[in-house]
Amino acid sequence: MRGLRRIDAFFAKAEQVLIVIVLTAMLLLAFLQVLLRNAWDFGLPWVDILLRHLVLWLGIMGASLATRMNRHIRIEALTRFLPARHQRLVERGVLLFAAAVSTFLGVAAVDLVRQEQGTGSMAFGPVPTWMLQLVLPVGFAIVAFRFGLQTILPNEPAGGTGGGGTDR
Amino acid sequence: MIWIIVGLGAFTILLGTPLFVGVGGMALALFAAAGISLTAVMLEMYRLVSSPALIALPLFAFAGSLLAESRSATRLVALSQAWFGWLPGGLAIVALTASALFTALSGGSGITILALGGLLYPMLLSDHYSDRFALGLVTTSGSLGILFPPSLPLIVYGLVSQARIDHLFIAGILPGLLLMLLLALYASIVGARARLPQRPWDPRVAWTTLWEAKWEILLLPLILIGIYGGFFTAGEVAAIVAAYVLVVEVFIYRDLSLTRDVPRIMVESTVLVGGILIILGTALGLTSFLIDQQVPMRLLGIFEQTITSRTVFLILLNLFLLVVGCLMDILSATIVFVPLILPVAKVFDVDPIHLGIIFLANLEIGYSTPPIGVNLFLSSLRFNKPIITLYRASVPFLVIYLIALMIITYVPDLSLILLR
Repeated sequence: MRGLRRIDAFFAKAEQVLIVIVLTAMLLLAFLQVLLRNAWDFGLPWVDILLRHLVLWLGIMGASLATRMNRHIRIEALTRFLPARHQRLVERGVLLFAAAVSTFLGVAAVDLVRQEQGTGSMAFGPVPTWMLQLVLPVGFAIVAFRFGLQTILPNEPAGGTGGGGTDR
Repeated sequence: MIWIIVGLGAFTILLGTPLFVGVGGMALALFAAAGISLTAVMLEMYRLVSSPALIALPLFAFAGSLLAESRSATRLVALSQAWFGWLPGGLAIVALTASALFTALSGGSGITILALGGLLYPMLLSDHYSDRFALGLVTTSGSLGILFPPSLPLIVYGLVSQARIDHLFIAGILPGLLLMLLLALYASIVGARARLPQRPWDPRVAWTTLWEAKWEILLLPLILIGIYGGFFTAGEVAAIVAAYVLVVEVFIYRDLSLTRDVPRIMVESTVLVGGILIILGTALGLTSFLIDQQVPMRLLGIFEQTITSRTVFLILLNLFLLVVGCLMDILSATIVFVPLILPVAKVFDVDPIHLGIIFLANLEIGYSTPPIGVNLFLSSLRFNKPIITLYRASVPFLVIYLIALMIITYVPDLSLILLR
């Protein structure tokens, strides 16, 4: 079990580092593009395509971290009225369901990448589209893993790296 | 079949399933039931990358998080106090102005109550405003700036509805000002009746506070002129604003450290964006399926006898969104319901831009509506008050919000006139 937690923490570290790199690159590229387009009336078309894919990458990594930190948007209209013991039971069921759905989404993502590989389409320059889509299967696999982990080992703070919440 | 799956999905969501899981599960089940390959769900999610304004979302969210973590809240409060403190009900108007500015710039509700409420609430009490008034004010104005650019809900509405985000930015200005004006009027009346103290107008303080906050205040003309003048697209403005805020807070104000704070804030804002984007992605699959099956139109068919005119449609829309607003946060409600309501609104000739402003103004009220509006809970936690106290405190403000909502809904020109 501790091994699983360690894997989870390793993913989180990698995600945080990648997020900082990707967001920095995005900021620089987007700003550069504005400068080029407005000062010299000259845009690089591949930058726009890359930027939009970087948003997808950021989004999936952010969602994966949100799973770890238990920060996904939820509506808890019914469970509020349940006694604590039942709440925990419902929560386990919810996590198991979430793990299952994420697994299916991950499988669908693998299919998507395979299909795209088959068509051999290029996103820009030498970069094939499927490579940019890889974040989807990998991301959903990690999300499914985390929901699964939380189903087995609930009620322990996911804290540690990254800190949960805006505590100011 | 569709109804069973949607019903079950909605039930899991009400039980506390993360929204993206509920929505994604519904999409998977619906596609499977219709014999369509599940890959379609992912294909729809991947379609996200085809919207040119997508980049506005992470960049504005990052800029907003930077502002929220800096000392801009203090500067904005000092500034509003110097400029509006002399009016009757001055401090209340200060609170409204500062909250609206802060919410618009930082992009989200919730943060405002936590960041500004703690400053404003004791100030209001020490100026002898009643506890109930102060609480109601701080709680309900937590979502006040949502109609002003560059708030995230405006951007998300644009992404979902394919309406132009720069047009939405412009359309929100007058309705947002109307809301502020009505609330300020109410505050003035309360202040004048109670003969609360007014501060003298001091041009020197006004000038120094403006000078202090000048870099943040410059954001407003930067965004407005950039977009209103048609110089930049929403995505370009987002890039400029994010770079600008980063430089200002790190190198000019030195509120944040480039190595200690900025990476943490980057991760923090990305977690927020990820939570939104994954709902957006899964909802694309779900809503495109439902629209493909003509579900909105079929629903409309069922209610054909009731919905006889545009006015009836708008009234029902208002009521529906009030309920939704209590249950869901603005962003998820926008993502899930806009695609389904948009085709129906077209039938009744409601402009998509106007619809967006109605949506946000309407959902914003839900934030503070008893029994489960999220602002009430945030305030209850922040100020350590029983939730019942907050229910009572928010009522007069909610009445004003509702009046403003009526005007915003039934006078489309208020939203659209600046676009002509």
